[in-house]
Amino acid sequence: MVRPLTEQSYYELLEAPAEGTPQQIERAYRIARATYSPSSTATYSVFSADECAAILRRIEEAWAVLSDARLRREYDARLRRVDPRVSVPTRASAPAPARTVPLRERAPAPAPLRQAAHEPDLDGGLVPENGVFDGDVLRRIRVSLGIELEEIAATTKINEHHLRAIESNRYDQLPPPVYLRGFLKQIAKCLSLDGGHVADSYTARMRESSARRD
Amino acid sequence: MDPVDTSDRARRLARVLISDVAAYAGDQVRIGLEKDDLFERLAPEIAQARVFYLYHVDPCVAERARLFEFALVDVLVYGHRRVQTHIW
Repeated sequence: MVRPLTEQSYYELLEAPAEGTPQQIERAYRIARATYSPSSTATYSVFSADECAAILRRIEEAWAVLSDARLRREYDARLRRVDPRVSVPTRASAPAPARTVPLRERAPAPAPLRQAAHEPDLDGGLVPENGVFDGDVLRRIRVSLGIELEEIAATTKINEHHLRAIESNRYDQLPPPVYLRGFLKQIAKCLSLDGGHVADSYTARMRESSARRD
Repeated sequence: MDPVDTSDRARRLARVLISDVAAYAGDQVRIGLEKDDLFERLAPEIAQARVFYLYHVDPCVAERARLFEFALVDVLVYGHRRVQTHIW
């Protein structure tokens, strides 16, 4: 979906406005670095460790250029030469977010990024490749279907606290197993999944985790 | 996940992602509004949601970035408009 890393401008990479002040660039850099850090929970299932490392290297490269006034001016000039439609800082230009001014009209082929093993595959059904449903998988399927947690709560009458605990695999905060199975079946129904399989898979995973802890 | 290639689906995805940020942030939204540092406070979570959003939404979707920003304001700010804070 996003362009390959090497085709993104430094501004796009940092999600910083091309006319951004040095403070805005620095802030964008810090957020980007935190997002792709090894401890980031959001990117762990989207990018592999190697991909994150590559992105981080490119982020550092972007920061090295954009944080230096002279290098940034040269980079902006180069960017303008590559594609005059690109909005880069000129003293007279009106501010515009870099993300809204793509380098090309249409995106090329999807970025060569690894899809997580449990990423829901909507083309071939929603069952993950390994057939294991844990909280993360359920959450991803829900997001893929465009369903808010609140909507699940309203439909199933399950407390949001329990839904969050289920999706976060916080087993110590889950209701007793008999209720949990019922909850899982209701959630599965909302997501058009096989309730029995989801309940079996989730509780098996939970038991494995408890056994490992003991 | 299928590529999100329409504005409606992009809007929906943004809304789901931001409402998840709010749902999993606990009291942080209320505190952020009270102290007027909501977006700084939730910056990592918002950035992570944005990564997911931009990864799945086709760049040719009109107003792609703006739809995400609209969802941010709509869900995090307007959705919590009853919070007592000096900022309104």
